[in-house]
Amino acid sequence: MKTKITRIIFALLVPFIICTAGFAGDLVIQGGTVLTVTNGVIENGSILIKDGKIAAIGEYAPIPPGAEVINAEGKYIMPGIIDSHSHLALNGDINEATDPVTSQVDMADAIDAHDYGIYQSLAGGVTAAKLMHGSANVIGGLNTTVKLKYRTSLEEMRIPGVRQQLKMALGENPKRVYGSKGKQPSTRPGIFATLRQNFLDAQSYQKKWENYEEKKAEGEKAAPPRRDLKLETIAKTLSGEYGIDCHNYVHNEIVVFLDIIKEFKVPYVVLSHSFGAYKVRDRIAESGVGVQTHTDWWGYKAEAYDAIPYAIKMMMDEGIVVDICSDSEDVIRRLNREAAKVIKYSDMSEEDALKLITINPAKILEIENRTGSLETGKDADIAIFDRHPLDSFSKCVMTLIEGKIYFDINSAEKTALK
Amino acid sequence: MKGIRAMKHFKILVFIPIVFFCYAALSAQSAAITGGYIVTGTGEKIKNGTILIKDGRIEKVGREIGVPEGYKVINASGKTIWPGRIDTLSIIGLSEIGAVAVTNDANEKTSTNTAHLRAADGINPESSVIGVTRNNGITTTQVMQGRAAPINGLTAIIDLDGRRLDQMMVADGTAIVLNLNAMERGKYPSTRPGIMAFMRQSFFDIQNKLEKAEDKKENELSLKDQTLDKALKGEISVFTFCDANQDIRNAITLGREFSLKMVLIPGRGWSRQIKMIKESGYPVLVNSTFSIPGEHLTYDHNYRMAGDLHKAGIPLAFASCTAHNARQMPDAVSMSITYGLPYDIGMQALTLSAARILGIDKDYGSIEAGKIANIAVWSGDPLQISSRVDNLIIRGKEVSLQSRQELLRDRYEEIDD
Repeated sequence: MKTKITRIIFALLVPFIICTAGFAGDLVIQGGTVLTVTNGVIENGSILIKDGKIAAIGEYAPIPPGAEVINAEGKYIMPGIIDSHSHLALNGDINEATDPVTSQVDMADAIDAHDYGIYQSLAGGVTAAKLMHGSANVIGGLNTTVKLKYRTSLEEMRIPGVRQQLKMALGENPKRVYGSKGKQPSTRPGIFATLRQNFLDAQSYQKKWENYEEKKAEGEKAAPPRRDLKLETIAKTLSGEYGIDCHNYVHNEIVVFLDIIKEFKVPYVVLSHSFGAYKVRDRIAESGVGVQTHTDWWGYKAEAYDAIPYAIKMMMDEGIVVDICSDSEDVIRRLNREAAKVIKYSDMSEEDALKLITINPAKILEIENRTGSLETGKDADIAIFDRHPLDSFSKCVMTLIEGKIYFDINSAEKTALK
Repeated sequence: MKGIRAMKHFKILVFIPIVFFCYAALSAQSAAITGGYIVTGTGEKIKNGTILIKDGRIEKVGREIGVPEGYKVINASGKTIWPGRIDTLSIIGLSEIGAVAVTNDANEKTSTNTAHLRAADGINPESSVIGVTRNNGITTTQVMQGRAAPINGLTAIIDLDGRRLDQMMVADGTAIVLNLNAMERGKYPSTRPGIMAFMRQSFFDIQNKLEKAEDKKENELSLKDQTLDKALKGEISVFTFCDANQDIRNAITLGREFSLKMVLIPGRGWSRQIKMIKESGYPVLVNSTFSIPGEHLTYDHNYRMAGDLHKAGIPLAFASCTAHNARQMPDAVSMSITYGLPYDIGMQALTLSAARILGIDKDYGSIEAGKIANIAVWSGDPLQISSRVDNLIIRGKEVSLQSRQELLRDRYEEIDD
């Protein structure tokens, strides 16, 4: 009902807005089926883009004078795809695997805006991704969410004001990496002890600074504590300045982790992989954390043995925000096909399947106010496909970020080394 | 003595009922699939067709075929029927959990030549991977013993249903696997010239031994040598992994030098050697569709692999080369079709062309009277990733679609508080 009314309003307003708003620099994507993801489907739609943002969206309308036009007749227009878990463009600098706790490192320092993988992902309709530390350490580094503005710069790619997420990892990976060195953690209890101890240390560190600030404010003489980047980052995570992105697999470790974040009142947490999450989905729903996972991966290690392709729908039905992420420079290029695969295993609407790679990852990355769906006021991050993106024979023909074309199949870059 | 005789009687007593039971189970499985859109695999498409199945084989296919009494009817109206898909190279049954060494029986890494090994000796018919894989319409696969060594052992072609391996076996030991990229640092062979010298020497040694043997009989040869001797005589196929441009050239050179019955599994260098592959006459297994192209290649380079090879007239099929991800193998076919492979060729690459490359097309790969009844009934176009298998028949028997994953789903359908 709401959608219907919105559509009628759009139908009335769009021609007006488009006719009066046109001037050089504007862009109109005209014709085509618009999959808004949050407000239904508009056949023969039109999108007006001004200053990199969606200024109007609705049914077919005349082109305003001076505007550049992209003819999308017969095509499908969807929000740019968002990957909530990627190690792209880091030149292999993924794991600072020298200590189980390396919260002092920031993945932004590794990002290469010229990495060809960015272009290959744009060719799959992807416009934003969280570039992450790996899972070798219990507490890894800070992840950075970027728009895939190929061959610009880190500064251009970074989304301003977005909370970074501190990578953490449970289970087999840290067990293997440090256990093989005869170092803690070599067990799951070891992992959680490391986690708890560092949370406690960060709390003490925070207290020290608070005491110092207090004394200073009262005019007392006090020496400032040593600034410890490692503990500072964890303290800022406990206070909510950073979020947590926790790599995990089995259901029992998820429950323990949820208890810990409750105990320490961590404000923002998302779970990565989480193949056992479906078994404890009530607990996850209760805690309000989102889950970034994969459709049909399984069996590559013991903790992935119970993964099932039905889990995504089971979690969605529980009210959990779930997305499909890649964790792969290959799969990031075809996330729309991964979304189609969910429909194979579970009854789900096309719109819900598309949410798994657009608005849901946007929510998990806390960028849903500016991207992840086609709505007025949002960034013009758009992917155009020649068929419905959930059709297995579809391909992306154009990708725009903030109204700028970064991939066009008709003038596609032949190689990275041109 | 008495004990042995008693054993014999006991065996016979057990054996007879088993044979009878098996026969009864099979003969009870006369079935008819009616009303579906049949894509036979030979190029023929039958609307509203009927397939009769008897004694594990396809009895009749066509329109307006009456269903004899006693046949179990599977109503497939509105559905699409395909032959069972074939994964031409996998390690299904040899790997239960990837990272857990004790559950893996692929890749005997202790020697550079493991031609004396048989994949069949490691296959676990109750591997959970089997149920998971067949749920995506894959009914037959060639299991390789591995690919970690330059020369790897004998493959086994199996159907994905059965409690014992002999119930699943299609063809045992019809091929070996060479890998021109299985070099290890610090150990011979550690370079491409090293690998080629190693291969040539291995084949020369057998030729030499045979010449020396007075009666020129194979019994002079070790197990290892016997396998390579069969390859030299063209009695078994040689599936060869060859990644880069020069590896593909080397594979073809090796095949020509020793007149091997070769099948190529090219990697990233495929586009540089299309002409040479075509001239060699060797068929290709595609498993690099989703490999990431290097910086000097277009973003869609590998998506185009199957289409471009087909355009050049090279016969091809697809291979997963894995266990757990074998069910994803058909996704690569859909991607290939998107980027230039004709739909019908993609369909056949999963069925009849695959059977031809494996040398089992007399019995497999298409829905034709007389062939083994491996058939999948699909909810929609099988090459749409969102389509499901609704019924699956392997060797004439409808098999369960409840793999380990469906059982887990059902167990956690409700969560107790």
